[in-house]
Amino acid sequence: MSAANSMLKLAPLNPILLRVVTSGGRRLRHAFTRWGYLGLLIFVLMIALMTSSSQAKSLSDLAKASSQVFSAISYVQLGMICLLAPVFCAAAITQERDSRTYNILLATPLTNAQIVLGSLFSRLYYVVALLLSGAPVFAITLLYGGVTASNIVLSFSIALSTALFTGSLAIAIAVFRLGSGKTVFWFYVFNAIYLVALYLLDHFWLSLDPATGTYHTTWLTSIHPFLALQSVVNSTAYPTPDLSTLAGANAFVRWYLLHPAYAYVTITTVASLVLVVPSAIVLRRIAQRSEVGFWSFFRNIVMRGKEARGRRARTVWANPVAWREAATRAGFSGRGIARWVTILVGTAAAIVLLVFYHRGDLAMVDARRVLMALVIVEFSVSLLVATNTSAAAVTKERESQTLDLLLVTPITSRYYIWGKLRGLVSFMLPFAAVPTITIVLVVLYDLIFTLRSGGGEWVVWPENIVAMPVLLTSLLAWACMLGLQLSLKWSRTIVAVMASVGVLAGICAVLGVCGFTAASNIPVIGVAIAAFSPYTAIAVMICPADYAASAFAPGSELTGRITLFVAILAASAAYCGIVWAMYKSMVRNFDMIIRRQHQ
Amino acid sequence: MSVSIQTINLTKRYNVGGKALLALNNLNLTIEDGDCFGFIGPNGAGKSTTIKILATLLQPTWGEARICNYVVGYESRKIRPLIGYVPDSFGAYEDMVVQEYLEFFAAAYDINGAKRKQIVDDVLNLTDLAYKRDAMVDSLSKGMQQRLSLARVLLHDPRVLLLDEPASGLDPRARIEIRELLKELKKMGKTILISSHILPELADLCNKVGIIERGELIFAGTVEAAVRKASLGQVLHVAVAERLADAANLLRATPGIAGVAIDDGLMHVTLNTDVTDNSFIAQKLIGENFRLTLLREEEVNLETAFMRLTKGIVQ
Repeated sequence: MSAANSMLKLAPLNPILLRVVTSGGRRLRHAFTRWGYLGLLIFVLMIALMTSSSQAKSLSDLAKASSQVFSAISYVQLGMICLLAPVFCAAAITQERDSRTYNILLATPLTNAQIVLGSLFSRLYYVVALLLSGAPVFAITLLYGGVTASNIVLSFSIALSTALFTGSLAIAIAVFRLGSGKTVFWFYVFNAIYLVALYLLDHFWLSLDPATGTYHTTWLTSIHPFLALQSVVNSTAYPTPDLSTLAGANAFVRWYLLHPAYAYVTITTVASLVLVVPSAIVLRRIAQRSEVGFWSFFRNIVMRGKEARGRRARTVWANPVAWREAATRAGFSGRGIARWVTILVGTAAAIVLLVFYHRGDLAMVDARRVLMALVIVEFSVSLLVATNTSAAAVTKERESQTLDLLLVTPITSRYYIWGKLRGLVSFMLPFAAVPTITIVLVVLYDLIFTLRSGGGEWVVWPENIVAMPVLLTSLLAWACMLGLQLSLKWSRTIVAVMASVGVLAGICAVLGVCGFTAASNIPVIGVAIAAFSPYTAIAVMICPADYAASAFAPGSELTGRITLFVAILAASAAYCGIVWAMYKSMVRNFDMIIRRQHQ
Repeated sequence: MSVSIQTINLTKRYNVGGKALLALNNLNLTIEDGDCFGFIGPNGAGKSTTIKILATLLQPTWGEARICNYVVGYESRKIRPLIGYVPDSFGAYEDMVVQEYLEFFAAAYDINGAKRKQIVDDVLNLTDLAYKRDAMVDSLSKGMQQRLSLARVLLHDPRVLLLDEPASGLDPRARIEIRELLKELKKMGKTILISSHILPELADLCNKVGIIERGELIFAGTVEAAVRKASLGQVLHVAVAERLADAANLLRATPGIAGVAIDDGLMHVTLNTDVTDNSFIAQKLIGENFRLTLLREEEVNLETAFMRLTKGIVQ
């Protein structure tokens, strides 16, 4: 009886899970999230059905259209899970430590496994509820044919196993005390870099068969959710390799390469178990140790206790708010080191790229694509750091209760916000410089080697030395302002950071869809429109032939370049205008928002 | 003497979970220049709300609060240089040393250059923190953090200090150090409004006290006046050699006595509030041939005054 009771308490009757299921289900915020998610899926379904069914002439056309619809909503579903699973699970990293209920839980007769699984399932509950709410939308695609039930099951399995792995990773970080508030952000950044970098690596480097000019799945497909999904929903354009090419491989490698979707689900599930089982074993043993976490331990070794003893005071600027943002964030801390590591790694990557290109290992087209991938990753990191840092700027002061101390000084809201912005920009400038340095190095290479030898083609047009930093700086200022705005609105850092990253990702995604569509379909105006979408602008600046071929066709290249340059300056001015408007609005509403939060 | 702090019908209503909570109800308070005013009340009585309104952090729902004749909310910018606010919890910036912390706030008060260094040195010396100038703020003990808080509010030499439970959670030594420091500030002529739960220390430090309960000021005046007010309806401890129950019944029937309780061989006799002379009790008992062995007035201090004047009701 007691063994059965213990087993039931692992999952279905787990008190932690029951509490979340009974109380969480009543929360309006979660209901809104589910409605929003379902609304988005229905919106994508309607748009896809309307555009494809108007061209459908036969049942097979309808089946084809249904397959495309399934593909679209599967990507949206996985994208939403990748965006929302970290939001729901990342809080585990700090909440378990910060919340006083954690110690109370440890003092109850609940076993380690019951606590760990309760935490994991209670966080996954929202994600699973979200996934299930989208099931009817998928069922509609079955009616039209062209989609098999097994494809739908595989699509759901990929999304579910992704959420399971994300949750397990968050729980393991919390249990092994590897995390703090900052870890939540890096958790997000790592997810984003992993997804973007592996996708670009697979598509631009590995999956293209140079002999046949066709794409196929690679060893990366089985460890990347979007690539695994692509192998399911688009198996004709992204097929598994021919069996004959795997003749020498053992059974596991053959299975791994021939069934990437199954392999992905299996690998992530096993990896989740690998993370959860040790967590369940050592939970109380680690909790009984001192409060010092791994990073604190590491920092203490590096600093040899200097930090605890203190150091000589630095000079505080006349604007103390700006000084606080710029100087203390860039001191000897994770972020201080991260700035310089990012610059060094970015510069080194650009040099490696140029070396490969110089030796002839990379063709011009490939060099451009790799350069674009590099700049996109560097820009994404800067954008995320800017958003995270600014989103935490006010909330952290609120949490550390220093905001009240500043509000009773003669500092005005204008002075405070301007100080925040100035300090953030000072802190962010080295990050923003990384993609610019990369572009400058490539242009310098062109000037020294390619053009000196009597002509040839630019890898990157020289006007990008001006256009790129102008655009990126204005975009980073916009990201900082967005983060600051949400930091003022929300009272908790984690919520402000997640909301800022979510809003930023959403805006970039929507602008990206519009920008890429416009650039590839409308000859000149499309390029002008693309300049207003951050990622499309970067892509068109570096790889114009790939993303705006019609605007840069032979004969019209000069017009395209001038249009792009002017449009980028206009877009930068527009972003600066938005920053200014947001700044004015923040100054105007600062007192009212802060006062309302005090009520 | 001019008035430093004044509240007129100060009312504050919070919205908690859709329900209105009356934190302050027509609070009228006057604190003169150089007063050290102890603000006493149970948790949730409205002390912190009053201090936050005076510190320009909150807007009153109704009524008016004035600091040095400037109205909070309308002339907050003029008020801020005049006040120093110490909240009930220490606000620490991470990765800052003590000197940077003070210089940071000095810059916020527009104190710059050599003057800033000089002032920071002065307040560090005044608060005995000079030897900790290079220590990380978050590594300081709670007592030192409170001293640093006081150092922070002295940077711009404010006329009025608003201290919200500055001794809360401190060990006895740290409490005494803070009290001595506050006495120094009182000598310097600062007007101090201090809320605290440690009443003997307030009695030692303050010349005036205000007792607040459920957002209403139920007493304001000198410490002596508070004790006097609480002494009305005083309690006497009376013992007789034998027939304790009979003696109690006799006193219960005597005019001027509100009640008699027996506990552990003692009678606790509560007099009516209009009775100031208690000599009739001894006369009555001796006259009825009781052997009186003890007759003692219950000692009334700020603590007992607080207990008698408040009902212990919170919002």
